[in-house]
Amino acid sequence: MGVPGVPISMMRVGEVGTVVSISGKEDVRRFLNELGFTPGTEVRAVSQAGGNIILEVKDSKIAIDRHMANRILFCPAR
Amino acid sequence: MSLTIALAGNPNSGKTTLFNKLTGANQRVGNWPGVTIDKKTGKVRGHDIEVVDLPGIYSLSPYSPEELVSRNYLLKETPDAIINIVDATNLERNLFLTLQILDLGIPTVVALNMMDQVEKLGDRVDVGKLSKELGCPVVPISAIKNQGIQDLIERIEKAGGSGEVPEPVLFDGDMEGLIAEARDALGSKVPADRSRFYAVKLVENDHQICTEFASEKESIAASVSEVERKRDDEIDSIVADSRYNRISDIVGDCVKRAPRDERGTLSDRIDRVVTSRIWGIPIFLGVLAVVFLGIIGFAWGDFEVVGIGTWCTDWLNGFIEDPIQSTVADWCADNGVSDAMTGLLVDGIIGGVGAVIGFLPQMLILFLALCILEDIGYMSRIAFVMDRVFRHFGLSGKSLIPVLVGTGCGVPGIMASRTIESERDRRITAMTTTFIPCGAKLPVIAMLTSAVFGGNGLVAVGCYVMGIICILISGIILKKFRSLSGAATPFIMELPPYHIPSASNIVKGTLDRGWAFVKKAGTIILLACILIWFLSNFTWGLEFNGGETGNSILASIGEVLMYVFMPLGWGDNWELTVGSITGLIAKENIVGTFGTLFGVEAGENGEGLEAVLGSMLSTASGWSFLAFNLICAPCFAAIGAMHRELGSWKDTGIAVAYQCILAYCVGLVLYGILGCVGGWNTVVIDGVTVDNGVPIGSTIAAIVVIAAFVYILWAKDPFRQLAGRDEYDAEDEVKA
Repeated sequence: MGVPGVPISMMRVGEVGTVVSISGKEDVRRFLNELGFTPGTEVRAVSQAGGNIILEVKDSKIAIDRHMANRILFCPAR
Repeated sequence: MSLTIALAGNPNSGKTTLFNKLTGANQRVGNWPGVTIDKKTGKVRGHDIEVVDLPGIYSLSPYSPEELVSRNYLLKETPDAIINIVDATNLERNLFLTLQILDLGIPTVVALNMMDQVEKLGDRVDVGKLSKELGCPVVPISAIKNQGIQDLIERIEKAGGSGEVPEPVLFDGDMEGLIAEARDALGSKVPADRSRFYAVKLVENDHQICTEFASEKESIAASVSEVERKRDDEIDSIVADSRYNRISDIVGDCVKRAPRDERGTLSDRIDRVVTSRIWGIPIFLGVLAVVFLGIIGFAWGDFEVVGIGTWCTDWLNGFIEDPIQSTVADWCADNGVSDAMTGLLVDGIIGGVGAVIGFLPQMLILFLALCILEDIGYMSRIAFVMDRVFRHFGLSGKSLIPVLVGTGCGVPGIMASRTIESERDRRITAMTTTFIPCGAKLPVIAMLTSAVFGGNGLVAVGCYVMGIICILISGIILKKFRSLSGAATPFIMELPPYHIPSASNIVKGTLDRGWAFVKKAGTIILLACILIWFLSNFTWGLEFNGGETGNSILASIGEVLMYVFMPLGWGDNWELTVGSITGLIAKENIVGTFGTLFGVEAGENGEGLEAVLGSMLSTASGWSFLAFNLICAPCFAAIGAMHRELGSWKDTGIAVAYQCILAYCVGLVLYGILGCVGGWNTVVIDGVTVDNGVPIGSTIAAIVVIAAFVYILWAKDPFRQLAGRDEYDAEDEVKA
């Protein structure tokens, strides 16, 4: 599709963006979908520790490790 | 007519709080996801309704084993009605599950929980409209404040009684076409009520259901791939997306949100500090140190602070000695009670059980601290912060949750490993969780700290760090076995909002655990102490030895077994060996056994249990004694829990053997190396300091053990198991 995407692990604290895509094993991807990470959803980085990241999505906070966060691409909000 | 009602909802949405309010039960509530890992049942007070509290789930497609419990219950055991508890402060995410529950075709009432907090935020929820859009009754409640519970009971009774099935919430056109096709394909192979649910799951690629209905899946495959092509995405993402789109519409219609603080909530600001890269781990260690220095105290040179716990324990121990023990002894002497009977009462029962009960204050403070940390919501942050460290060792931060639970008691700790999705990680965690000292090991640590280490609470902190290090090392070692190798589970976890802990919840949690400890002391420990007293006060010829334990049955057994532990620096003190063995029944039994055995000597020489221990163990051998007893096989109850998680006695046996071998190795290394430090291998016998010198044999053995471990840790395939095998094999095996 060619939508520009940056790994969500690179998000700066306080930054806001929208999810572009998620890759990885099916069950993990599905779980992330269920937690609200679907393409187009707005997310905000609450905290960051060496790529491990805490994201706010749909009013809840989800902590994700760096490997997984590398597989979620986001598009920074203007 | 009696009804069975299931309580289903997201993790941490307040199911257990509501369950307690409905049934008057006292189930443990915690501010983190995954407190309930098995279903629990209770009766609603004053009504003929049975309530089943299910583990929290995000969706009806299970991700971890405890989520499977919930789905299987809803599908297979079909309750009369479902209360779907929904966190109103987080509606969108919670309704994701609601929409799937409505597909089940079971009468459902949505309990809109945490309405008090919604009001506090200034948001408005149009309950009537929400009920209309969802096609089922919606009752606003606040489980914590006990609001709306009666209304909820009435509504659920009505719904269950009438059997009225909710209208499913429909997706957009494409999806409904696929679902209709799947329903046709499934036909009468599934119950008519449930057919929409099965159809949606079949479209969604649900693993279990697609395996069960493989040919039906095949028949809709063409239409599915057409939709996939059209939307340029995988079908499971498309379904999740459609569902969230519907939810966004519903929430947009029914909720008016007040503006939020731009700088983020207080929770966010706290998280920025406690989970930051620089401060996260120091803060965790700081919390650990404050807790244990507070409990046990601190001593360095002349500087000494007595911990609150130690202070209370000293007082309680004094009280048990005088007046309790002394009064009973005097009474026995005055009334001509036989020596044997007096010994049993004074040394066996009061000495043994009393030594254990004496540590109650320290345990209560530990439990209090744990309850506060749990209730605030800090536990899941620790898991997040430590994930980075754990990942270096092939483990996920998820493995830390069971470990944190295990600081209270190993049994629920081992059970909490069920929240880990990957089977290999789950097994490794179940095998290693008990390396962290549990509440029952605290008396052992506290006893040695004051007897051997001069009351320095840092020893206790060291024990916990040692436990974590052993878990990490085991992560590497166990992953080198074929059956346990594989990448670490991804860490994806919801973090609950911080909240001020509720006093009643904390007091209840602390007292519950404290009471369990007292009950154990009054039953198992009591029996064990009587047995130990008998075995140590009678010879093989069943003659009473008058407290000269040297020729007793127990001594002769211990004197054979003690050779096993000589390399660990326990010397010819058979009591230490016997104590370690009785620790298998329950770890605090080590203290009870010493209380029984040394009570006799203490009585004669006027010196306490601590002085006797101080004459047997040096700094070096004290560490080896602690290491062996903290790491080796846990108590029988925890071994039983391991068996439930590992599935077979063979695997449980291997796990226990691994734990004992590792414990012995760590003990040997600590004794062999610490013993080389000047003055660390001295004991005080009757006020005289005796230097045992460098334990040459143990030091050499320790170096060999270290070399072996270094090889195992760094070699790619030390057990010749992984050759010719890559990640893909590992994944295939997991699936098989």
